[in-house]
Formats: sequence, C-alpha cells, structure tokens
Amino acid sequence: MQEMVFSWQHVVDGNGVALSITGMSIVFVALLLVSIFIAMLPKIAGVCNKIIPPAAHHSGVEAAAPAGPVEAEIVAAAVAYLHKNKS
Amino acid sequence: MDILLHFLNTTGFAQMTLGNLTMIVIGIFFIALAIIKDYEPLLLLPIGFGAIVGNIPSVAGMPLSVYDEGSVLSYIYFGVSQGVFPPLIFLGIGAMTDFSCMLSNPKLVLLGAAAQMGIFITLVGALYLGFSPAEAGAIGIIGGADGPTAIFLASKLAPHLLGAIAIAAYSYMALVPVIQPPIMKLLTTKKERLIRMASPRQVTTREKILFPVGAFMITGLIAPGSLALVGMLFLGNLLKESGVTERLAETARTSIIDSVTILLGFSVGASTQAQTFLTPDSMLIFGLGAASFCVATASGLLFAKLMNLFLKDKINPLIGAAGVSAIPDSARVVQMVVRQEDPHNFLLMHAMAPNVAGVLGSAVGAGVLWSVLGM
Repeated sequence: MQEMVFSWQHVVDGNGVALSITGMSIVFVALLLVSIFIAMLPKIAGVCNKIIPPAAHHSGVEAAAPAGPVEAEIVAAAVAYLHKNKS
Repeated sequence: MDILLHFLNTTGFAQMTLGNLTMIVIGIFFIALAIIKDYEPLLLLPIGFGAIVGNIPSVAGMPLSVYDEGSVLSYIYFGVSQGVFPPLIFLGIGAMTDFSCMLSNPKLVLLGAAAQMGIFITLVGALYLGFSPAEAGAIGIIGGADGPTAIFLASKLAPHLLGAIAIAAYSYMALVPVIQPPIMKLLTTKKERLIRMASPRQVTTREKILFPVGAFMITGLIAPGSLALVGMLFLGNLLKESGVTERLAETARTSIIDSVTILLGFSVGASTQAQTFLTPDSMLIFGLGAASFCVATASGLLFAKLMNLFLKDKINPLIGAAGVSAIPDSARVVQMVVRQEDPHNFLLMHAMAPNVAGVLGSAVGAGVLWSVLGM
C-alpha cells in the first residue's frame, strides 16, 4: 500500500464485491459437496463392506473390536485378585 | 581503546531504536500472555521470544536477521516465506483430528462454510482501505482464524505483509476466549443458548477411512490452490484412521508438528523487526483482523439461527461460532459459554464439527484466493 486513501472506488476497481461473492459461493459449494458426501458415507461404506468385508481388511481394525471386553475381563480379574489379597 | 569503542558501537545497545524497544516489550507481553494467561502458549511463547530476537539490532555487514541473505535465521524463515511449514502443520493437525463429530452430523459442515464470510468481507474492507487485491486477499484470510493458512496465503500473495498477518492471525486466535463470548451472547437469546443436542451417532472405521480420500478429491478438485494444505491435512488423517500406519501418524502429530511449530513461531516472531513491522499498514491489518474475527463469529452464529428455521431438531446456535476454525479453542469457548447457562449441557463434540469444517473451509478459501489473485 503506497498511501492511505480510503475509497469505495478501490473496491470497485479490484472487483471486490464480485470476488467476495464468488469466493464465498465456491467455499460454500465445496463444503456442501463434502456434507453430501458425508451423508452418503454410510451407504458407500456399506457397498465397500460387501466388496471387501471388514474382517478381510489388512488392519483388521473392526474385526478386532471384540478384544475390548476380553481385555476388560482380564483387568477385572486382576483387580479382584489384588483386592482379595491386599492384606 | 579504538577496538573497544568499535566493539561498543556494534552492540545492540548502541543501535537500539524506540521501535525495537517497543517490539521487545510486545514480545515479552506475548510470553507473559502465554505463561500467565495460558493463551495459545505453544505459539505465543515462540513468537514472543522470536520478536525479542528479531529486534536486537543487527551489526552492519553481519548476516543475522531473517531478512539477511545467508543468515541462519533466514534458512529457518525459508519455511515460512516459501509456505513450507503450514502444510506440515496441517499434516500434524490431520493426524490428531477425529472427524467423527463431523461425520455423525454432516449438516454442521455448513456452519464451517458460513464462518468463512469473515474472510471475504474483510477482503472488501482491505480493498476499501487502499490495499491491492492481492494484499487484501492475504489480509482477508485472517478471518479464517487459521494461522498456518494465513501464513501460507500471505507468503504467496503478499510476502511483505507476512509478519503482520501472521502476528495478527495468531494473536486473535489466542484471544478467541476474549473476542467470541460477547458476540455469542449478543446474538443469541437465553432460550437458544439452552438448546440441547442429541448425542452424535457412532461412526464406523470404514467411514473414517473413506472420508479423507473422498473429501480431499472434492476440495482438491474444486480449489487446486488448496492442494498442499488439504492434501497434507487428509494424508495425516488417513495415516491416523487407516490403522496400519500408527507409527507415522504418531510422528506427524507429535515430533513433526512440534518441531515445525517451534520453527514457525520463532521465525515469524523474528520477522517482526520494528523497521518493517511498525508501520501504518500493520496497524490497519490488526484492525481488519479484529473485525474479521468478529464478522466470522457472527456469520457462523447467524447461519446456525437461519438453519434452525428449517430444522426439526434444532441446533444450539452457539456452535456456529466454532466455525471460525481456531481449532480447538473456539469449540472450547462454545462449551464454556454453554456451561455458563446450563452446566449439564455438553456441546463440545458438536462444536468440534463446525470447528474442523472451518479448517477445511479456510483452506479452500485460501486456495480460491490464491487461484484468483495470485495468477
């Protein structure tokens, strides 16, 4: 900025209003599409699950889910043992 | 004796200006804010110390400052001036962000878009004040409330304003708990602030894996200028969610982001030499930055109220304020304000949805501005 001259003419010269409306619209459209994609995700994931079942997934993340209760039971057993033998 | 006199003339004491002293005091103030008030300490502390370092006067002929070719600090500053650090920060943010809250309630993504209004209204304001379109775009992005994005775009569109824009962006991000609550209370009724929202649904691992790939394709194709930012954001998130690259995700969200944050904060601080920083332009940028935060907060809130006109299950409009990014502080502020009205109302997870959508929105906005104004 060379000198401070406040003027609406700068906004007009720089296509400020059009730029703002266009930019805002593009951001909105982009996030609207992301939002629609997210809304469709459960269906897309369902289709993917049919093609590649979660159990066959390399990481086996979802297949490994039952491990939680087993670990909890082990912890519970350990706590019970310690509680019983604390004296 | 001559040698001693010559040496004394090269010391910082001999060349210190009032401007340098002012910036050193500001640096100490930032450090105090970080330590005493706990405002964005991870950023304000390195920035504050960097400001002190950058305002110790250089010795003529010795490459010392970030602006001196060949100086050590100039190599660190390279990551800022060439926009290298922001995408690395985004990699770490992606690796530590759980998008579940957003995936469970997709309509909240729109609040992240609405809050980007701050960027584009500030752009008009900056043009009005006489800044060039490229400068106005770089200043407008402060309204995205996202420090790395602001630095990235400023380095591309207006490198000479980078220091002021970065300091303004991070300062206002740190001041989110001060700036946002009055606007939130002003624009909502007590009844609206008391609205409770249903618990988010459980999101499957498959959805979490598919999301970064699909969302990147959408945003990257619409705004290629945001490729570096959203690409790294979603790569980091995919590393986290895939379940097979935990080591890489761990590195991205700890070692990488921490190292880059130190270097970025310090070098941005060191770039605030009084001679280049204490200018009327900087003051205008600070004013515009404050206005942009207020506009962004108000836009998110008002859009949430607008959405409520059409929704059966009403959303608490306060979560609209979290659309300004400033992750995760603005979401925390929402929870803080909500709990002042109803201590048993927990909206943090709901507020995280527009919060992460805001990060995405500001990155897309930066991409759009770079494409339009940087060509």
